[in-house]
Amino acid sequence: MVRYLVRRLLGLTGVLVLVLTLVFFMLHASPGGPENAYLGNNPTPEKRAAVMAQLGLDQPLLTQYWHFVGSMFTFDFGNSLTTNRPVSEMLMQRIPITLELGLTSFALWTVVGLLAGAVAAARQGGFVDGLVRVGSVVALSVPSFWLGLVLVLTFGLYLTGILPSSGWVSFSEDPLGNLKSMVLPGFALGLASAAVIARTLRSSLIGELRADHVAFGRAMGLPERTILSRLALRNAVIPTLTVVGMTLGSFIGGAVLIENVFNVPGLGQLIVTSFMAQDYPVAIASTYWTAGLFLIVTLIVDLLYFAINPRIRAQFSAATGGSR
Amino acid sequence: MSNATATVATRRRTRRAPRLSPLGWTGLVFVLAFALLAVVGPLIAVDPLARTGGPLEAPSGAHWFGTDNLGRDLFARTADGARLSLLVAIGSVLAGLLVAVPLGLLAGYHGGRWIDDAIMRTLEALQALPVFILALFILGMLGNGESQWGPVTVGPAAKVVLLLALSFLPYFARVARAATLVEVQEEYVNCLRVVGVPRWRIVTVELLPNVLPPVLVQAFLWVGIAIFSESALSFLGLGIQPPDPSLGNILSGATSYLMLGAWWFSIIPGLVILLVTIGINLLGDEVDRLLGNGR
Repeated sequence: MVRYLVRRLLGLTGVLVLVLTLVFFMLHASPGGPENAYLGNNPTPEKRAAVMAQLGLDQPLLTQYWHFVGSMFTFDFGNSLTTNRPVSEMLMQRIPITLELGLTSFALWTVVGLLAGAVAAARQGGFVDGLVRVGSVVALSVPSFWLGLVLVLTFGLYLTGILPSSGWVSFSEDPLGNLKSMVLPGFALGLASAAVIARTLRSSLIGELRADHVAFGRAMGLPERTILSRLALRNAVIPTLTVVGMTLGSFIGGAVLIENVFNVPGLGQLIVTSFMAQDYPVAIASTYWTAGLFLIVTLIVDLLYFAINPRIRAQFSAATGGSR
Repeated sequence: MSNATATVATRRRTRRAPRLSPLGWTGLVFVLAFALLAVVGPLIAVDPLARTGGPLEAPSGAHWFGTDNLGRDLFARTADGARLSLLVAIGSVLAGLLVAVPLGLLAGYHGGRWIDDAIMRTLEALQALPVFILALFILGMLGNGESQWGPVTVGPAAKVVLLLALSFLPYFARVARAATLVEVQEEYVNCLRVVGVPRWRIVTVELLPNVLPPVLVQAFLWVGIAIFSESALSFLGLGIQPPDPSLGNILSGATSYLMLGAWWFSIIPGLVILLVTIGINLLGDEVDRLLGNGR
């Protein structure tokens, strides 16, 4: 377990260094110097000087590279150019909101997706199955941020007073208001992922229902419900769990989009406002953290999966245990 | 006699043009409708940057999709946005293929050796971040304006194309590598080696044509993902910059006018994205089904 964790952490660091190196050289390939990309259009001389000093652009290239990559691991992003507050402080306010929205929506939609997939497979070829099949293709194609706009329009203008269509209330201030303000963003966020989960479970469950041990169970006269829950579902759930884990990451990326539709003050809103204000330290740090959150969440899912699924454990010890 | 010929003819036809299911047809119609809007729309519409009507006019005979907050025709803007989104999507998929297919061929041809490992491990590292998040991350650090890379000025659209292409690499290369691995095992490749055909010739003339079909099927499906990613990035203000219309930045502009009841401003451009994505997904399912039946 520890060795697996270490290997995953090393891989994760590798990804970050790879991407950061790529960005560093893209920035330095520009003749105007990297500060231009940080400054945007029409920078004032003071702003340029502030950014130059902050980035240490007077130092040798290798030192700059070291600082650039280093700052992403020490989480020292400097101060915001507009509010002059430390960027890390601003992030700490925003990250929990994005996480709350992403994780709540994930939990609810996963249940819906699994139920829809299981029911469709149990009634394969029936009306519900058809509904799930067609519905899931549509659901998986809906751009989440557009669905958000449709919901804001519907609940903000036509069906007013049922649910808040915009804004955010913190949980400590008003728990019920917090949950209410999360319903619509959470709905728009997870619909596509629920469709992916439903499709995966449906197809693996249908495959499993054709397996020999299920036929044997039927021949033994087991009731259909027992066959489904005891024999088929158990095996079908494992590949589905991989997909569930993969969709969790998309909830983080999706939350960033959705926040801008529903005016939720999380990371995604920070990305847009900081770009509008040309506040590049904040913009860089917030996109960096969106990627970072994704990687952390994926890592946790992998570890859980490792703990749950004996096959992966066996594979891993077969791959590494033999030589050491 | 004539009966027998008819059977032969039917058989040949079914083999050449596989039958589409109703859902497959729906997908095809959606995709063609989007292509029509993107290709023909800008030709017949008014100037997408000109103020040809009053602000926020509902759809009418004069403005099929209504007008936006500046009185610009939304049919013209949506059609032009669809054109730009389609160009960005196709451009990024082609650019991705151009790099990924040679890499996949190289890795597959040397399957299991260090060169295969080096290519595939690097690409896997890139794949740790999904398309949208990787593009967001890199665009976030590079900024949303024009960039100078050496002598080349790279505009926002070109940036999106390059970043999407970069994030597609691992997926395309994997398909190309897998197809190459299978193909290299074939008898004829060994025969060609024995006869003394140079390696580059085996790879480009013999392997490439056999590797391309599965890669192109994948590439088609990824056009849908590219359209979504472009619109999402533009919606956040990181992609195509206004006043140039893209499906994403039209929607981003529409967010401020929802509460004024301007439903057409956000609903119609979004429906266009929805239709093309449904179309591509349905066709993808259809290809899966047909390939599954074929084997």
